[in-house]
Amino acid sequence: MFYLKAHAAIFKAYLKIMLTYRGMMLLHMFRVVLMPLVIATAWLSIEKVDSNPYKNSDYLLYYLLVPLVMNLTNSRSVFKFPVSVRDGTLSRELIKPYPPLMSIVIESFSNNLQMLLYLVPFTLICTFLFQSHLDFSFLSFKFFPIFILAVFFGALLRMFISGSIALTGFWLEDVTTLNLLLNGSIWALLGGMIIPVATFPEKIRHIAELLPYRYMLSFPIEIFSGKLTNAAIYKGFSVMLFWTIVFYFTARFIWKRGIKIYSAYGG
Amino acid sequence: MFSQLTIITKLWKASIIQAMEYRGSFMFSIVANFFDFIFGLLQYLVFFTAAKSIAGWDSDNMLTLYSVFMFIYSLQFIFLYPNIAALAEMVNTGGLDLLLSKPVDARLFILLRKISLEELGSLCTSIVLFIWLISKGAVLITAQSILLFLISIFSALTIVYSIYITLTALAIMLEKMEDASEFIWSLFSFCRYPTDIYPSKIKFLFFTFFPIAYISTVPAQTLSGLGSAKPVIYGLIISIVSLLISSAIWKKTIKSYTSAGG
Amino acid sequence: MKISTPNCDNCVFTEELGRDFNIRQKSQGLAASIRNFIHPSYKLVEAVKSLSMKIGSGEIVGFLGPNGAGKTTTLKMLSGLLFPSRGKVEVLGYSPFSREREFLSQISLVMGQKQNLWWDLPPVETFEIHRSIYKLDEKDFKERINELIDMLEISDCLETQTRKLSLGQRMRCELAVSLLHRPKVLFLDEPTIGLDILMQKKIRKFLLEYHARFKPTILLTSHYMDDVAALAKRVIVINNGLKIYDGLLSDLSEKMQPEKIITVILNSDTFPKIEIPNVTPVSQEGNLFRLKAPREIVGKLAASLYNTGLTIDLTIEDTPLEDIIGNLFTENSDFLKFRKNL
Repeated sequence: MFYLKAHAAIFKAYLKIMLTYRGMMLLHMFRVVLMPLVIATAWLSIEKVDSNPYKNSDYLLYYLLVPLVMNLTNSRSVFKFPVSVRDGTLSRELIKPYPPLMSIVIESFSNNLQMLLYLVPFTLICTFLFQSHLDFSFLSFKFFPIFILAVFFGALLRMFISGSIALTGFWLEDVTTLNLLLNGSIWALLGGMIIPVATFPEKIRHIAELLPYRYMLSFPIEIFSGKLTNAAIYKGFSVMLFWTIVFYFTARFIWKRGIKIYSAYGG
Repeated sequence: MFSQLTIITKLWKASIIQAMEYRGSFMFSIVANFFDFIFGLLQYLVFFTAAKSIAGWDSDNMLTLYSVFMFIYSLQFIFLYPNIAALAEMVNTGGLDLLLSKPVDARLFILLRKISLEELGSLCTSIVLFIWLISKGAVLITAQSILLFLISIFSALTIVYSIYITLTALAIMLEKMEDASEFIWSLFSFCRYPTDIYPSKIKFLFFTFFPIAYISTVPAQTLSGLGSAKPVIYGLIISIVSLLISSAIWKKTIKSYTSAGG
Repeated sequence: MKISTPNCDNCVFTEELGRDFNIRQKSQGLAASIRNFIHPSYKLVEAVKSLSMKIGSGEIVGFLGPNGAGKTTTLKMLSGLLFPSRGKVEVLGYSPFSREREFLSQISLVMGQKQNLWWDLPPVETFEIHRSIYKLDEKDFKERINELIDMLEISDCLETQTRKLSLGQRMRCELAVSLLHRPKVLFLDEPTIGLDILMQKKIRKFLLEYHARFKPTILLTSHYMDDVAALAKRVIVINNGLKIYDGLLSDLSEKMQPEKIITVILNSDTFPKIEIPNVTPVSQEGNLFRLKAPREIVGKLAASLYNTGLTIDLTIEDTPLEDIIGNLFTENSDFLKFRKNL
């Protein structure tokens, strides 16, 4: 709260920068919606096994929401922080009386927010186009605030996980590999990007529900589409909070260690 | 030509030495890519617990597709991707101007000067997967299918190379560097699944103007007995045409870049 | 926490300050790379061995030394970016590495090679962000910014995207941003690097003017000796992480360079015979002669050259500062003797 004005100023600055590069944002959006689009098409052309609980309309709704939730919980710190270590931007930040990582967080946030300018219309248009194939009978407004809350904590969780990975940039020249390992295909698989978690075989589903990935993508969507019982929602939130706290402290720990040995190059 | 190649191998050697400087990262990235491959594989396996087949492709066919896809994908990642990723820096620091002033084949140098061994893990694993599929009898092995497969792999690589040339040229022309690597990423997300899943109009596009069907679907088809020789021949023709078109775009770009004074 | 009340005489204070780095060893070639890959060897490098100095508030001190002498490392320790391996350091009574808000609000680090300005936004936007980071109130901010804009003559480039500014414009905007919160201590690391002579002069003039007005303590490193000569009366020379000279710049050049250089243009190609000892010839190009002579006899030499009636033009200059400093670092230089005598 102490730095509210500075946060706001930096947020505004990032919005301005992104507005100057509108074209690029459009391309980013293309990238965000592309993969879900391809996978949705794949799911619609499959011959399902009998035990599969999802119908075509469920898949459609699911993948309509994937880009939105994926974008809102996205965190770009993994790409930004190591660069700031390498090119000395971090040094600049460190000698200012302002929390040194805040501008990276704000940049990520403003980026995600700005992307909504494209994503919301896109989703609405798609919903309109496919409305005859969609089944809205599950939808209930009482789930909406819970959905928002789940997205918020999902974003927080992703920020701390990505942040922990990003902060290893104090030691590693290149954190993209670690990111690939912890945030790559495993996220796509267990988060529910490729296959909705609810349609996993029993055992794998249990594992997925205990790991953090599901909560950054599948969980909020399942809440939105009314597919979860109250008990499942409570359980989900507890697991999500648990991981959020774990990774908050992990990130803090890494930061404290890292900043101690941080040595800007040259001399 | 020969001297160009020796220079390029020297640059590759330098890249490898540089990569080995960061020894933790180097080992780690190979291992990480291996695991990433395994998770990619798991995706298909889990996929088939909820599905019997995708647009007529059963799980063996899909695994064949995956191994072909990963083979091409890791090859481009090793040889081409690091260069396009570093393009922005090259233009901003004036490296491109320096390069154009040297007596070398600029195109070859811009596209191939760096090499990244990170995807080596995936490359090897894709070959292992492929051999396993053969031993399992999941792959159609006849003289004809092998010949068609080899041709289609050649076309696939040629098309990928042409796409890289075009993208690099466009990136230089439009001064929009970051987007080029984004585009590559997006492109390959189409290739993870057979083009048969798309509506016929889009499918037609993928076989003609935006020829990604030839990158993974067609080679996998030749070994799955799902297709005929026709698409392979088309693929060969299209790959050559795209190479010619991309070269023309390249020449035009360099001409306008140098005449604009960089 | 403040360690002590700032002692006005010791705005910057270090005692036996040192910093080591672990550097990976690497020999040339792929084979060596592989060997290193399996068994990396490290070497401990003492970037700063032991440095003690006291700088009073309002002083301008030039920090000299060859590349790798430990200048930037020292500046980084003083600004709290680098944790010292040993020794004491205190700036404005704070321990820099605690990075307290009060401390950070009173210092500024300007690096010629690194950016403070937001690359994709015009400088005014960065000013605005800094205003909120340093919590300056509107009135103060307006006043200061206008003052800086006037002094730096940057009114015409404020609204242009930073990336599109020329290096000189960017550097001046960079200075404006760094001085917005009116720091009490200013660290300048190569502020004029890459700039042309004219721009270097402008920046020097600005810094002098700024210092006269606001009296900040300035620590300056530069490759250009002219920067140091124009700005700093006192210099600290370091080499290999050790302080080898700390004192007035004028003393340094006088003691270090007891000789002056005399350039004469004569109306003949042969040099007349002059009965003065200790004069050494340096070079000859046609009728242009260069000589070296001790300070004390330069006057006598000039007089007798004029007396020959052959002299068209005659100039006397000090050896360039670069050479003096360069001399400090060559082994067996006069300076080593000079040091012993101190």
